[in-house]
Amino acid sequence: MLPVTHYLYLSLVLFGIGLAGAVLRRSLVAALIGVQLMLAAVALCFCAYARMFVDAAGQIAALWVVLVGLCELGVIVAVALRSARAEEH
Amino acid sequence: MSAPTFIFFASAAVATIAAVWAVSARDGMRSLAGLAVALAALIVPLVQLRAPLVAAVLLSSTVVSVLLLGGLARVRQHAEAGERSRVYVVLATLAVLGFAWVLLATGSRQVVESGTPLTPGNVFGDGSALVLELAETHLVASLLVGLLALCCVIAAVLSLVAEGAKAQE
Repeated sequence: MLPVTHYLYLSLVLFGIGLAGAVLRRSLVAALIGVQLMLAAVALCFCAYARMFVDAAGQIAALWVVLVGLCELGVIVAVALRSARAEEH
Repeated sequence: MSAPTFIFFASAAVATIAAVWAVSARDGMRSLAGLAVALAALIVPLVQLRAPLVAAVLLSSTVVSVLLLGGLARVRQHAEAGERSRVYVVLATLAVLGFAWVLLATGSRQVVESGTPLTPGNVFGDGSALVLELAETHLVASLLVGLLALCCVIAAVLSLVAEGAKAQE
């Protein structure tokens, strides 16, 4: 197995890129892409620690993160569409 | 350099470059393509960490996310947020730089650990073992999150279909 720090560095870099996209870009789609990258990075971090301590709870937490991120995206897309429609009328 | 190390670094490079592309591209569809490549490249480290179920769920979630964001990008093609104030841009840039500083400062003090070696026959990371543990110890939470995810995706897809139909009229 590779050292766990390799995976942690990768997740931190992805989280940083996602954070930069989420706070610095004006486009809603780009900001949401940044949030998705941050969530994926967190899931990778959980999996790295799960493998390090040989504990499946970390993988379960990663599954929660991915699924809750999907819920959040669905709600935001619906709200954004409704607000765009309301602005038109 | 061993094959797993090379594969890890190659996938990490692809994921990083695609992520930078995703957040910096001006075109929404190119951003989405970058996101899809970045998240698909993350499958390699996840499989190396013996988390194939998480990799599969992440891949499925990526497909749904790209579809949802693609629909949003098409509907809001010309709708951009207004100009941001200089104060916001300065504060946000400082926050990102602060995060990078924390990353470098903590990273330089990390102890390199490889984790506990797995004994032959260990079921850690097996999809069936993970699902069994989910069912045994996190049954209610699993059902709740699964139901919420299903409802959210259905609601978002219905909204997209309805808005797309209105946009075409």
